[in-house]
Amino acid sequence: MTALADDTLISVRGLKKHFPIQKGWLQRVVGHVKAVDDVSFDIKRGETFGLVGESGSGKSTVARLILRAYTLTAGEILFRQPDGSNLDISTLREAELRPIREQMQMIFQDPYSSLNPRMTLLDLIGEPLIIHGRGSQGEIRDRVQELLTLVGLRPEYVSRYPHAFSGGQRQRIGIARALALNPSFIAADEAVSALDVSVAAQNINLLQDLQEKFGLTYLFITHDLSMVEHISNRIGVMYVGRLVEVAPTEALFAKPLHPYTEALLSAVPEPDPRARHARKRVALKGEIADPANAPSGCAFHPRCAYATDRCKAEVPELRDMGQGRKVRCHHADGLSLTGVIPA
Amino acid sequence: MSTLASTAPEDVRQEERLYTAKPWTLIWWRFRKHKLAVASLVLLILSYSGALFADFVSPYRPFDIEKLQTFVPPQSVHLFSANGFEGPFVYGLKRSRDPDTARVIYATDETRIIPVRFFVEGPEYDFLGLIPTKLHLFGLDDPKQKLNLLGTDALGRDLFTRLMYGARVTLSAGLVGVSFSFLLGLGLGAISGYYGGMLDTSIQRLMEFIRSIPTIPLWMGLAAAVPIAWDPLYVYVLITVILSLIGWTYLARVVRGRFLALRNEDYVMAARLSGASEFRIITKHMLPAMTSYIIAALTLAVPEMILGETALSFLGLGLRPPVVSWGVLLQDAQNLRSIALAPWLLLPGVAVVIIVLAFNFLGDGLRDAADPYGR
Repeated sequence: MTALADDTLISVRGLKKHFPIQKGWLQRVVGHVKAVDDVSFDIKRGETFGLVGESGSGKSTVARLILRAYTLTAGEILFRQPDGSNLDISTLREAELRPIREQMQMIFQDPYSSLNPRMTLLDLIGEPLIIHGRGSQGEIRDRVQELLTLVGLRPEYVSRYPHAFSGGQRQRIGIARALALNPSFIAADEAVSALDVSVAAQNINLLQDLQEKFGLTYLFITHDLSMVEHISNRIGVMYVGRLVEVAPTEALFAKPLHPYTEALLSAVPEPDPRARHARKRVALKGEIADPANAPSGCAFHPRCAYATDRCKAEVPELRDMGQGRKVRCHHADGLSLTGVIPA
Repeated sequence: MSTLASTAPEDVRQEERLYTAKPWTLIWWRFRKHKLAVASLVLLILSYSGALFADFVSPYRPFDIEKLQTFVPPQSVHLFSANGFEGPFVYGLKRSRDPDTARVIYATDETRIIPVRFFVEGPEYDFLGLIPTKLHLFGLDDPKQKLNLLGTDALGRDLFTRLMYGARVTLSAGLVGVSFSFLLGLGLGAISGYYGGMLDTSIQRLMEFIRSIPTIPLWMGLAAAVPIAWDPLYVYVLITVILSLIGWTYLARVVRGRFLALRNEDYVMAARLSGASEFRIITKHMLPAMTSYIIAALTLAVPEMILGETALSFLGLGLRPPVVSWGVLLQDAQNLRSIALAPWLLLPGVAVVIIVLAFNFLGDGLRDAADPYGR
């Protein structure tokens, strides 16, 4: 276990999750879906780390692995404790994890299925408080009302059931539940993807306000690059279970180093119609590769416009390019790719 | 809430009532809209209370033989005679013999008006097996006269009385059988759905195997193994166990399906990430979401049990006389003579159809109402 930089809250090292593919009567394992394969990154205290990629790139799995919703196949998750020490939570058992769960929470994508329809807001938001024995019934009720006010809902709503609320409001209930235990880290898995643009923007602003107020650290997972540009300090780009590029937001949008990032960026809609012509569109050929049967060498080579024979044969390493940038591409030094904002 | 309610107009208060309604209230509101299901529920409640208080509801005892009153056709209750309104009454019966066939013929004697009384004294019985009494819901004052609403059988026993007593056995066999299969189905279905993997596959294959066995031969084989000299009560319990040996597979499927669906719900994951124990997740999140489905499935499984009991007893493989059940009563209707001369002996079959239909309608209504949160 190596030491963490002082400002790092979470360090993920060599994270792997391989789901077995089982077949037949005896559930023989005939292969593995490499949903997450050797992912490493750090999240600094108080920052928002954005994780982007297409559907099936493994970004949600990363979040669930960090929160230990799944067991890891391999890897380390170092989590800084309130006393300043580092704890590897990757091998803890469920009972040992319980105190850690107070410090890390999740906001879910689907505001409908993530709230138990048979519980009132008091029971829903109060559940983590009850589990961790935070106060009497009256105190929990007060705290739930306080949390509702915090996310912009009326405290009188405590005895209502989730079906009384719209998608955006439900998402706020989910945020209130995540905040109940005063966590230091929140993973937001496509937290606003299911919402209308205007409602999504409100909730994003709410998340930013809360971050400022409580010094929260976010892992923000989305496929929407314009959203991630707005909220993130740094961004990791994932493709078929691997991190292909990590960079500060500004730098990534100005000058991507990986051809896949360039293609993703060129798909961001340009609001100014006159500027639209000036933009180069890089249309990706084909579908994202199957993580159960990933292409040889660089997984992106079948879709890459710059691919060479070396890309087919040799798996590129995630290389440090300086200025906090990392890229997994053989040709990163030679390519000159276009971003969407002027450098 | 109070400030909101006192200042808000009526419709806002209505809305608040909907928003704070408990899950079971919502299910009930939805169930209420299904008129046929509500009617079936009322019918079933009446039938079951009729069966429970069979000795009080019926005017006679099930084994009272009347030698001179065999194969009496159903008597109808009238309210008006030639003299006008009389209150409920029946006409007297004139018994004669056909000179050619020597068969007994009953004709109504319109000159004799016998009033039907409520809460009359009749044959003595123990109310609910505890309190000796003579009080019956209805009957005739004169013990020499008989009131046979559904006619009598070959021994002159009142069919209405026997139908009520038979309902005890037949209707409860459905419930007891379902509770056996509920235990098996919930247990194995939950294991199958919760653990998955090899265990799940084996349980599923076992269920498919059981379902592929033709039911009637299997029941016949098992029922034939029940010693004939056993106490009828043991036989009854064994028959319900035999019925539930197949019935549980259906329930296990429902339970397994719900477990599989719920295990992957985000709110279950959210509870787990909050540090909830397995016990808390199952009792607070999974079971409450399943109960309404399970109740609907149970309701739909009852008629199968009732039909099974009736079929077995009809074939003489289940319950045997002197036990009275609807299947046993139908044995009397097995020969052509009865159907030609006394078609009312088929009435227990009509009762089976009505009860089975009522359970199906009720189950349908419950299933539709089971998830009041459909998007």
